[in-house]
Parts: sequence; C-alpha cells; structure tokens
Amino acid sequence: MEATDNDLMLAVRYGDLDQFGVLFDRHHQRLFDFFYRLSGDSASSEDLVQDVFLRMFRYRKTFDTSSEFRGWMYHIARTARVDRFRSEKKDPLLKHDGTEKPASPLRVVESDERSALLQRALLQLPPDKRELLILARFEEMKYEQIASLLNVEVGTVKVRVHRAIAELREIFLRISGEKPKCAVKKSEKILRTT
Amino acid sequence: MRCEEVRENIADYLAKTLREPLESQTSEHLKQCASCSDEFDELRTMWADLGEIIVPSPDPSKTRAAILAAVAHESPAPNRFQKRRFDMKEALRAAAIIVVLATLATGASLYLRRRETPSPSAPAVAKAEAGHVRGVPSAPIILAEYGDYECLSCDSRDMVRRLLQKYPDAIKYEYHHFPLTEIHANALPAAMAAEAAGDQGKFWEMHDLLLASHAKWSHSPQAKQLFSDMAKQLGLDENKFNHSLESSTTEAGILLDMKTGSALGIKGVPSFFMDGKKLELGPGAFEQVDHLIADRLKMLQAR
Repeated sequence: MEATDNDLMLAVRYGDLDQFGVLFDRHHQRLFDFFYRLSGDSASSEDLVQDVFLRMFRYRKTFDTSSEFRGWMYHIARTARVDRFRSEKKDPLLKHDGTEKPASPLRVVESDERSALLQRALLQLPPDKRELLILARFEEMKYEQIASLLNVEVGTVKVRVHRAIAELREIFLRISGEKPKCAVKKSEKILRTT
Repeated sequence: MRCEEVRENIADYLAKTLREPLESQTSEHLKQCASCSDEFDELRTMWADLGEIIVPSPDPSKTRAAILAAVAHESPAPNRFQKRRFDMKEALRAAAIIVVLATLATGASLYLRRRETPSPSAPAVAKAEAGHVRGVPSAPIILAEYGDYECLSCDSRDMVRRLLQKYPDAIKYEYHHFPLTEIHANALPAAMAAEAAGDQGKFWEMHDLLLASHAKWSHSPQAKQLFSDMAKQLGLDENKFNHSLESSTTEAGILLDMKTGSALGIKGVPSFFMDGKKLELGPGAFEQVDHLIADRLKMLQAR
C-alpha cells in the first residue's frame, strides 16, 4: 500500500530525508496551482512553491503524529505568502480594484479566453474570499479543514463560500458582458405557465 | 425545508458534502422552489466554470533540484566512519526485511498474536532504524541497547551516563525497544509511552521517568493512566500524547524494533551491541564496555 503523506512526512522528520522528494513530486503542482490561482503570476508562484518546501523541511520537527499533512502544508503556504509580500511591502496576490472594463461578449467563446476572464474575475474578488473559494473549490479540502486552517467556525466558512461564489458570479458577468442568464429562468417559466 | 435553510446548505451542496437527510430535503426543495432553484443553478454553473481556469504546469526540475540540494546539505557529511555505519544500517534493514518476509511466509509471529498488528510504515522503519540517540550522532562508535522498561535489570542509565562522560565525542548510544510482551504486560504500553513523548520531543525525559518510576507502574492495571499522568508531569500535550499512545504508527515502530532485535539474535534484555557486534556482559558491565571502547578507539585511530 502506498505510504500516506503523513507517513512520508514523519519519515522525513525522523531522518529518512529521501522521502521528501516523494512529497515534492506529489504536491508541487497542487501548491503551484494554489498560488497561481491566487495571483495569476507564474514566476512568483514557482518561487513560493520552493519557499514552502524549504520551510516544510526546515520545520519538519514540528510535524508529529497528530498533524495532518495537507492542513500543515497550507498553513505554511499561507505564512510564506504573507511573509514574502510583507517584505516587499505589496502583495500582488491581494490586488483587486474592480475597475476592469467589460470585455466584448464575442470574446467569451474561446475556452482560453473564457479561462482568462474567469481568472480575472477571481483576481477581482476580495482576497479573503478568493483564498477561501480556491481552498474550497480546488484544494480538495473539507470545510472542517478550511475552518481549522483559517481559525474560524465551520458555519462561517460555509456562509462565506456561498457569498464568495455569488460575488464571483456578479464580477464575472460584469467583466465578460455576459447576460445574467441565457436560458429562461425556471421561475419565469413557471410564472408564464401559471 | 425553508428557503433560508436551503441557502445555509448551498456551500455543502456545491461541494457535494451534504449528508442525508439534508441532501434529499434540499434536492426536494430545489425541485419545488423555482427561486432557490434559479439561484442554485447559477451558483453551480459558476462553481463548475471555475474549473475552466487554465493553470500552467511549469517544469519542476529546477525547484526540485534546489530543494533536494537543501535536503542533501543537511544529510550527514561523509567521513571515514560512514561506510561502517552504513553497513550497520544496511544490516539492520536487511534483518528487518528478512524477518518481515519470514513473518509473511509463515503467517504467524510471536508478536502478532496479541491483536491485529499494523504494518510497519515508513516513519516506523525510519524510527526503528535510527533508534533514540544520546551522545554525538556522528561519533565513531555506536553502542546500541535493546531494552524493556519493565525489566528490572534494564536500567542502564548510570552506565551510559558514565560512558558518555568519559567518551563525550566517541560514542553514539542508541536505545531500541525490545519489550518482552509474553512476561511483561506493561512493557509494550511503556515503550509506546516513551515514543508518544518522543513525538513531542521528550523521549529521553519519559525514558528516564519510566525507568525511575518502574515500581509504580510495572504491575499496575492502570498503567496507561499513569503514563498519561507522567506525560502531564513532563508538560506534554495530554491529548496528543494519548493519541500517540494508542497510535498504530507508534506500535509499528516498536514491533519493527523487536523484529530487528530478534533477527540480531537477542534472547533476553538488556542486550548491547557495539558497532553491530553483540556484547556478552556480566556483572561489572561498565568496566567491560569501557575496556571494549578503549580498544575499539585504539583500533580506529590506528587505521
């Protein structure tokens, strides 16, 4: 049976340093995705991935049998990101000005362009909501794990996820110039038939 | 179910983490309530659309190389004793593998009778190989002990302390577990208590405390409770300690130590090895080991 992340990290902690390469192979893309979705910046995301793995290695003694690797990794990832941009006095990950002009609806047909629009919409979401949404949607983290990571109640996470996705939709519609609904709303249909 | 309740459940519904009967109730409501259904459809579409964001896949080779270089930097530096230490480690690993294979082949083992036994995991193997160390990790001579906390003769603390005082740079003392579970009911839980404390960085503190308070817990039916009290006394996080005390990972490491010890021919405890060679010690153990270390150092220096 394949060793779990926790087993591998404990092995590293107790001196089997070779296992750290296995953890890198398993998680480097996931971490890169996390930073990239937050920032849209490939170069800084790569730097942060390296920083996180170096920190995990440096702090390996703090990982114990009661730890959960994924939560521990994201905790370090968030700290690394904050430290990095505190030292640079600005955080390109946290920018959002909401001043994007609407794009032509015709441009929304190609999947690459749609991807870019979605990324732009995500970047215009307030940073706390953006991070929460990325953790919930892409990082395969349960709401309980996110709550623990962000140090808030599980119920709060759920409410915020709901608000974040609703707000993201508003932003996306605004910058894409897309009409709110292409199909007839079920509620309208019901109204017409009654 | 009311619309407000459905909204509370939307995050779980999107993430497909809503449990029954809430999922059925929410689905039913969405079929009936056009307003909620519209809102949910819109959010679900957005949730799905997020998956369309294209993320590049950069070549990880440079980052990987930088990280592995940092890892290699912390690995022990090669020296004239490294080959010998490596051989010892390989011997232990081979012995462990042989025993594990033999166990699998026969389908039975002395220690597997207790209850369902966990497989040795990567950390268990790493811990069992490394043992717990006192003295200089890079010292030229390895003195390894296989001990049982419930065994009255296993308190080698005084001997080890005197040896480490006399040869501060020459000895690496390793402690490995060999609880005689057939005759000492509390020996395995005691070893697990030491490991559980080790998970919080206080293996040696618990090791010393277990040996010092042997009379108190060795025949107690509430030994685990006493170990928890000792953990508290050492300032450990009690919940974490109790979790480790019951953890199959903790147990697997100890079982691997025992299997390795068996493969090395241990018949009783305590058993000592110097650089992989079993020592036959009688009364006056300190003087005997002292003499052997002195001889060994002379031999190493002459090379």
